[in-house]
Amino acid sequence: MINPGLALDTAALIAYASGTDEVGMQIAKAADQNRDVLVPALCLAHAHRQASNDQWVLLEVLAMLPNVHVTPVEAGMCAILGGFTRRMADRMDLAQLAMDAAVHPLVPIVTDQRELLGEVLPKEWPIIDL
Amino acid sequence: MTKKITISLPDDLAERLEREPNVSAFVAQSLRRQMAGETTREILQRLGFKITDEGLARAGERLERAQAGITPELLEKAARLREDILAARLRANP
Repeated sequence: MINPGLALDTAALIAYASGTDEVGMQIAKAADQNRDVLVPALCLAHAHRQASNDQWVLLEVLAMLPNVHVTPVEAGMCAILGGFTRRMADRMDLAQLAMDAAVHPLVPIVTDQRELLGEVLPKEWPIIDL
Repeated sequence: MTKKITISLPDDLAERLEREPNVSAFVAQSLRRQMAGETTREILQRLGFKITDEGLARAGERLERAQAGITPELLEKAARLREDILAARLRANP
């Protein structure tokens, strides 16, 4: 059973893959608290699309960390995912993040897109700004 | 394979364990989570991240600041949103 203590968006994944200690530390903190880290599959895919060769490897390692859970897109999510995407400037990666977060209420999100997430999540949602 | 071991615990932890229907499973799961956390930290360090006590403390402060705005009203809103999404997912894929 997943016990999420953190969720990462595409920009957070790129920051991690660039070696930003702050994001690595946030992942380590979740691990120290025996909590899981949610990584939506679409955010991971978007991060891979932008990644250099070195960053690519770090993203692959991240997905294999024991307390990291890459969350899939499932058939039942398509309608809401499409609706959220329309309200979030066509960012389907962030729409999946919002859906995954919503299913795990008030899991803190590391992101640089506070405003966009506020289009579908309550504006007071716990956010750690990049 | 399993191994039977005897351990000593402070009273409060022993009382908590007494409430578990399957103490062995509970202890095993807690230990696995702890080991997963340790592995994650080790791998991050091997990748070159500087994981320090001060850095972890700052990460904890960032978490606390983010969660400081959680109110009963927000909890209620989040619970309603969760129910709406789960219901919609169930309708789409019963």
